[in-house]
Amino acid sequence: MRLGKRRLGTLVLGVLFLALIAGLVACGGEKSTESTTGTTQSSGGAGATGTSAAGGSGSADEPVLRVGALLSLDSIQGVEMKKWLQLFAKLYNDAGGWKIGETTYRVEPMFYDVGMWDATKSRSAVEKAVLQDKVKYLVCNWGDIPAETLSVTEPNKVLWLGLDFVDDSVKPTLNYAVRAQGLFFAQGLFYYICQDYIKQGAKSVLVVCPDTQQGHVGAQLVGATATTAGMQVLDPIFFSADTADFSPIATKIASQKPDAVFFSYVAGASLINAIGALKDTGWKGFILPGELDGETLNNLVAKVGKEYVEGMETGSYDPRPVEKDPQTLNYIDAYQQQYGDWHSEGCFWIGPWFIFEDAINATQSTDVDTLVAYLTSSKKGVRTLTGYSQLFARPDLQNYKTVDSAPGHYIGVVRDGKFEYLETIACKDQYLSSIKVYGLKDVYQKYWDEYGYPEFPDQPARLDFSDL
Amino acid sequence: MALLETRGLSKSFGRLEAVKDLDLTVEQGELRGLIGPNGAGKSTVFNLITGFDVPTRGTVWFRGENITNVPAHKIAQKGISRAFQQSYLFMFSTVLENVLVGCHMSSRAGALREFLHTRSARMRDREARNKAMEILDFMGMAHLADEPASSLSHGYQRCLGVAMALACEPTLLLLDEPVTGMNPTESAEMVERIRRIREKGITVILVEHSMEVVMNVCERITVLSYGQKLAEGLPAEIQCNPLVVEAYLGKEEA
Amino acid sequence: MTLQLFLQILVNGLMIGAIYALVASGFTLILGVLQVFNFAQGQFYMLGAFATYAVASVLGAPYVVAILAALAAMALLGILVYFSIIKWTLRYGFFHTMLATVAFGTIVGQAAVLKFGYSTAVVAAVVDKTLALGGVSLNSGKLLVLAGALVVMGLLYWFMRTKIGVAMQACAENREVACLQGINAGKVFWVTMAVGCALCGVAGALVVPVLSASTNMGQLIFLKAIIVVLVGGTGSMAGALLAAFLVGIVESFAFQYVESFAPLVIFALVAILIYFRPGGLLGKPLPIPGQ
Repeated sequence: MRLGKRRLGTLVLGVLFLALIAGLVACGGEKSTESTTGTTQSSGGAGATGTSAAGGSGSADEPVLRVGALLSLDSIQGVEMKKWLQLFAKLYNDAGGWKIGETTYRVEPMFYDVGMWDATKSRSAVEKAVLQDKVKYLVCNWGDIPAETLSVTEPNKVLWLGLDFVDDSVKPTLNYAVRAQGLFFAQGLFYYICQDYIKQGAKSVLVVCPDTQQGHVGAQLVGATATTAGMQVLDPIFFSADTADFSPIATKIASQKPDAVFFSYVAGASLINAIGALKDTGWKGFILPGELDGETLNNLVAKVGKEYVEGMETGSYDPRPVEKDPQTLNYIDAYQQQYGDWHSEGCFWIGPWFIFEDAINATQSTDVDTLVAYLTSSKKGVRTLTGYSQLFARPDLQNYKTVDSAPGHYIGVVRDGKFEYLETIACKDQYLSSIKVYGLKDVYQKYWDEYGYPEFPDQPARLDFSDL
Repeated sequence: MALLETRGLSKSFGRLEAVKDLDLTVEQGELRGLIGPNGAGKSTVFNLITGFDVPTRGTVWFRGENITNVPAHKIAQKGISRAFQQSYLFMFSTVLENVLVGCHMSSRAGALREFLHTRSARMRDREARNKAMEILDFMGMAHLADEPASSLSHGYQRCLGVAMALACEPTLLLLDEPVTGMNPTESAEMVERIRRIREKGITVILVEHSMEVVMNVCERITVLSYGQKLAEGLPAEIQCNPLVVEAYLGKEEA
Repeated sequence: MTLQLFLQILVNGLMIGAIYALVASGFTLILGVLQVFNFAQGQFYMLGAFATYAVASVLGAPYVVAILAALAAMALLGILVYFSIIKWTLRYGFFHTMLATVAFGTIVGQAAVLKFGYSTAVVAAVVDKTLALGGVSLNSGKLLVLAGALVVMGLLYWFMRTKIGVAMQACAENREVACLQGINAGKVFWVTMAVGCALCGVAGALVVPVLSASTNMGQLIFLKAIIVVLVGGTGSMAGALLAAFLVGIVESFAFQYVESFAPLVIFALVAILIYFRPGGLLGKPLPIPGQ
């Protein structure tokens, strides 16, 4: 190794780096629109700190409505939610701003990366948002630890509209938290798929989940749903979240000989590999894959063939083949125009934004207490990208404010390798089936007797109060 | 044409001039001794010849070709081998494997062809093995072929170093203190082998501390002191040279 | 446990072991010869998988052609990385090259996410049959991976006995002595990068029909490759091969009993092994960085 060529080497290195950057730009070329929004956002972010430094004087002519979001930007859900929030803000700003009461606001989304279920990062992100950037609304979240987040938002009177997989955010002691995207009142999908599979002859079910907090909660819920529907539930199988090869898992599943296998919180490559490995073992039966976006389904069919997944029922978060609602169609169009392609991974989780938007438009106020008062006495469903979402009280936790949501969701069946829409799960079905699954009828009955039965959006529903 | 020639060869490390304007000429078939007190620059001269160090000034010529800035491995391929003062061995490999590396490298086969032609490759494998065993036999350590190099005694490690140098089929062999740490019997055997190496037509330059060995085996001797050539001539001339005696005595006393 | 279940678990272990073996032997080769801790190793595996996808699924070429294309592409990329990055950082020492590979690996990973997103690229199985061997049904796809890996390892064994292979081993043991024996370390280095990266490319190509390609697959396999190398002994090819199958089989059987604690079992065993044999099964102790 002689040093005489050092200069040449530096040159080569420089050229290669330029080539690499050019390559990256070419790679991102299809998504050039995205990178432009990226710039707008970052300059917006810089502007935001500038405004807060300048104090109230500068913001008088152009008031800014700052909406914060704690997202894991390493996950597809986080990235997609960020894209949606940027789009919503852009739609308002392009139309001249968001008129609330007498004032027109420029909407400025603020994003804080929280890593993935990392308590320390959650805490520092929320502290930056609340204490430093003075964000008053945290709408939508992914990957944070709500218990950490809420310990900062509550004393600072910051409205928290998020999702939470445990019941940390719906405790009666909290004043400014609304679980706008929860999975408590979301047992409709599995309940109906269980019923359908039982009709077709399934008797026993094995639940397979990643060994994460979500996974364990998911396993419990799916297990309870299957039991309520009348299936025999085998001991669930948990696998390490960074599993690449699912053969050992599939072998273990097959050795238990279940009629049906339910996957919960298994998505993308993991789901495809898991079902592929299951097929390799020679096992055949009912599969519930949880959520399936179109791309994953196509890949799955390419991997295991049409026959293996024929008749498989699944939930879907993709509004495109389903929705007729003009507003939702507008959003879908705007997304595709803005980003040039389509991802459905964020559609479901972005729900809290619509609840936030509805609260502001209904109250014509940006005051946190006014918004909270509206939200916690909610009477009706709100349209999200994936159908109606509605807030309900949690009398089982002695929380009589409407702080927990029944999200919109679709159910479909795979026929000839394609997703065929069956129906939208009505808010009423989500609500009632969940109460049935958890065996909470008595508690809720007492609550309804005292506060009256809730009203639901006008949707066809399979269940009624008498079915409980 | 001399086999090896250095012209004005100099190497300085900062202010220290380890080698200064050295003109050294070694003819084909010679057995040259290179002596001098500690720190006279003998090892540096070897480093400069084998391309392990780049000279500050001056040139090295081998068979009429300027090899001053040629990388070490190419110099080795051109036929200059060196057995090191310290034990420069593949410590984790066996004695045979150590020698085999050099044998493999001196075979002329291309890697791809070797990869594809299994039969000729196997033959070459066998040839290399035979050659390696021959060399080990010559060095009197054939019985140690399968021992790990790290388990050898100090004397045998020196022998192995020479064997590895021979495996590269050198024209010029540089031996750096080959008998240091050997008992008198081993030492005598080594001296005998050096003679026989030279009889095979390999030119040898020998750096050695033991005057007895050098005077005994070399035909011509070059004396270095403080990086410069102090004297050159037959052993008898060197022994009587007052400069040499002074340099050595002075050094010994210090 | 029935015989069928036992064999099924064993084949699972052997298949993933074969993949570990390819990636880890490439890693240990580069670590041993260049003394470069190649953090980007897993990315070559991922790129190999995507290259196979591109050639087989997008261009529609036969699978064998796709494997060869992935091999060639990764070998070339390895050479490119050597001449553009490794060569110029090598003289500063162990940590510099390591950081350079971290940087390169991150860039590749992020670029892959930009290009492919979080999606999955699927290559249809080449042979989709379940073989019945004496009443035991085994999936042909996995056996094919195993067979392919064994062929590649056979070729590698043969390669290590050629002139350049011997030179590689000599460089791995002692670069200076190798140089003294007339070995051109610079050439050995780029060939080593080519071979080490090609091994990962082949691993990625072989695995695609079974595991499909995803952008994070490189990171997942890399951790395993390090474990395998630790168990087998740094720089030891034979050790890496042995350890790869051991880790694969232990992992596979461990899952049957302790499910998601299987990685814990592996780490515990590794810790115990390292305590008693710091050099791994067949290796010498770790090289001292920044020598």
